[in-house]
Amino acid sequence: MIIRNAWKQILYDKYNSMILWAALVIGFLFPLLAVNDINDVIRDGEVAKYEDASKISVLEYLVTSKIGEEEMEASIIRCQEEGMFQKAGYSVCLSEIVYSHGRSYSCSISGISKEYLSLAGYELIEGAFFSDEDYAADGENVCLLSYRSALQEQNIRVGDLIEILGESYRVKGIVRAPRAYGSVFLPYGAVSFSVSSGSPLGMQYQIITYGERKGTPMLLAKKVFPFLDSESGVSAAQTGEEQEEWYYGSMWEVNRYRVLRAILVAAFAGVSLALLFAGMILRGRYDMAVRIALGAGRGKVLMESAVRNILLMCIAFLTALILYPCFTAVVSGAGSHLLFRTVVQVGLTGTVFIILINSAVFFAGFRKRDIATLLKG
Amino acid sequence: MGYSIRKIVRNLCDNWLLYLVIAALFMLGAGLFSVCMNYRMTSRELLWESKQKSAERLYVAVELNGQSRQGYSISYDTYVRLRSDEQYQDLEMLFAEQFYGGFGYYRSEEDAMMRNLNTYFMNDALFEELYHLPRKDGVVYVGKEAYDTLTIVSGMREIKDELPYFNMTGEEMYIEGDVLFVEGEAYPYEVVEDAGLPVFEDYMESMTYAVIFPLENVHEIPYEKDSEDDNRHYSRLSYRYRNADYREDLIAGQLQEINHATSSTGYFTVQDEYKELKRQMDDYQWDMDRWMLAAVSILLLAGVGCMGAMFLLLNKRRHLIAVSIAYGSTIRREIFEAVAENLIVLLLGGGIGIAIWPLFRKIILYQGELRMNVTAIGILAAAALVFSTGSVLAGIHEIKVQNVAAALKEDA
Repeated sequence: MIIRNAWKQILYDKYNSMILWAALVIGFLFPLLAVNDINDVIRDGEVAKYEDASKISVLEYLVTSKIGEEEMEASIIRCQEEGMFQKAGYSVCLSEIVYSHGRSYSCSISGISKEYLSLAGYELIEGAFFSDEDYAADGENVCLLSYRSALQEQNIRVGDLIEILGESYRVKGIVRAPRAYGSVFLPYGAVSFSVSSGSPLGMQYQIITYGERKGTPMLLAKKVFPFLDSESGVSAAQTGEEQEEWYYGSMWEVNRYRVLRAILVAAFAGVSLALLFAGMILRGRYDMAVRIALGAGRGKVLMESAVRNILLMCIAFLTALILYPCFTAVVSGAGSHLLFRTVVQVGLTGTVFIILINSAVFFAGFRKRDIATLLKG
Repeated sequence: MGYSIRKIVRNLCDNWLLYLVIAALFMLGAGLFSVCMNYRMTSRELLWESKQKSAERLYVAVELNGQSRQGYSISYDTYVRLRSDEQYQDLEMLFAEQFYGGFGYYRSEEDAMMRNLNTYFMNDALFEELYHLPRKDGVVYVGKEAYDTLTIVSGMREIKDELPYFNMTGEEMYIEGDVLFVEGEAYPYEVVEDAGLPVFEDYMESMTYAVIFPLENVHEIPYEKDSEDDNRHYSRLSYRYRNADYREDLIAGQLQEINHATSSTGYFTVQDEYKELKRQMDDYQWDMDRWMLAAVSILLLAGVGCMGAMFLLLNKRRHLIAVSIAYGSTIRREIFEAVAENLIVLLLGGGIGIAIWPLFRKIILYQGELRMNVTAIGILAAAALVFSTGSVLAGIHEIKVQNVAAALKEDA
């Protein structure tokens, strides 16, 4: 009954309801964006954590010419047989031009081995990871996009075709890979990577090993790549713990501001909406006064007003959710991936917020004397 | 007028708390808006600077993962098509087809030689870039070492059957007097002395071994038929922007077309310096669009808050408005006064917001360059006017004649 009455009120007061709905949609988009930003920071931190950092070593090499794939694989297998680690995954990253939807982007591309995917602990957001067929290059060329990378921010989605290294690749999935260098991932082995001689950016090789450590990571690096001298080849060799520490240290500066920005934007949207709600509720105070005068309980009137506003909020919230992908694509560059926890948090906070504003305005503006004054006419 | 001013001041004082909230809200909005707008303007300036930087130098296209032995990587037809394409008019192509060749003979320990002989089919733009001299029509330019080699070839080819070893890869070429013969065809030539000879820096090659034909001759001298020889072929392509006014990335666009058209097993890309510059330009372009929309969205949100506050205020002031109208005021005058009140508050809040924008800058941005400009101030002032008028008009319901009458009835 209350919901039906509330719905009738919305329809009766079409003009005001539409203003409120439009304002709420705009108002909800910002908190959604802000809260999602904070949740992304939190989720990135969770994904960046290794499952067992004490057994992880990360070896990095910056080379200005290609390392033979067979040579690298043979070296890793030899070290594995010698018991230096149980398993290892590797990636190579280089800078290249990518084409999609008639536009070109300069971004970093990573070739990653199957083990690298599991050891690095990337989280699949949409689509699927590489299959064995993808590594064997049996079927169609496929790639993964990094969440929040330049390409993903440009609205390239799962199933789209992009052109890299002179070939077409279908986007198979979007992954959260906060520690990765690349924005596009290709199955290593299915693609031949190379750079022009004397390339200043070169190629960045990264090897993640898993197993009981025997010696320091630098020692391990020298054994894995004996043909690379430590001065020109190895650029970093860290334990899993050191890498995590480095990641959290360097990312904190960036994320601190992201969180602050999100809070500021959410507060701004909150104040704007509070003012609007207060104004809109007070506009209907004559109707409420008449109903109270005719015998309706204050609680019931308050409840009806709250339900009407919550109903409007729900419609606006749903609209905001539908519009969110377009909004983020053009405003934030954050991609359209909305975390479920964000939807729940904003939805619940919005409901509580509206109940509180509604109650505060109602109790402040509907004292007995005010009602009598209103009804005097 | 004096009465209106006094009334506006009195109203401002009477509703100071609500106006304080509106001013604070607009201050926050103005601060955020200033940062977004300034970031947008900065991105535009940086994009322009990057484009100017991109137009200052030459960018070499490189062919990775292979070269063609079956034919030209970039065919002459593709070159002509791209060169004459309207959309690439701001881009200059510096292009050459290169064939590695050589000549060697052996007569005795003392009388033997082995020399490189690189043949180029080069367009005028690349020739002028390398040699800094105007090119003569139809003339073949020959490096000093290449001249010596071709002169020796001329003598040796007469007795090649008597020599234990005689080999020439590529087309049969030799010089006799003032004429260069290629497969029996005669060409006028000029020798380029070594002194001051350019180095094909990007390819690390000395031009003293070069025989340079006009690019148009590429059809006359059929190197592509020699696929069985070890006659390795490369397309040499460099780019230079003619000006910084281009909108799309023309180099990447052209390379994509070349990759689609090429018979090569590899692919063409551009050197890393350009990729890095392009990445920056992509970022600036993306930032421009993003921050502009963020700025507009923030203004909209500020507008929503102002509208709500105006609803509150006008609702509260119904009786006052009604009495004013009953005593001779007009609805237009009431609206004007409300707009003026709101505008003062918004301008005050906006002004403070602009003044303290560096504080917001620290929060919105964690890195990057930001330059102050005055466009944001102008837009904000205009937005304040639009919002103050818009929010009063949105709340005009309260000032309608029938509401005034109703309010008066209440008072009566």
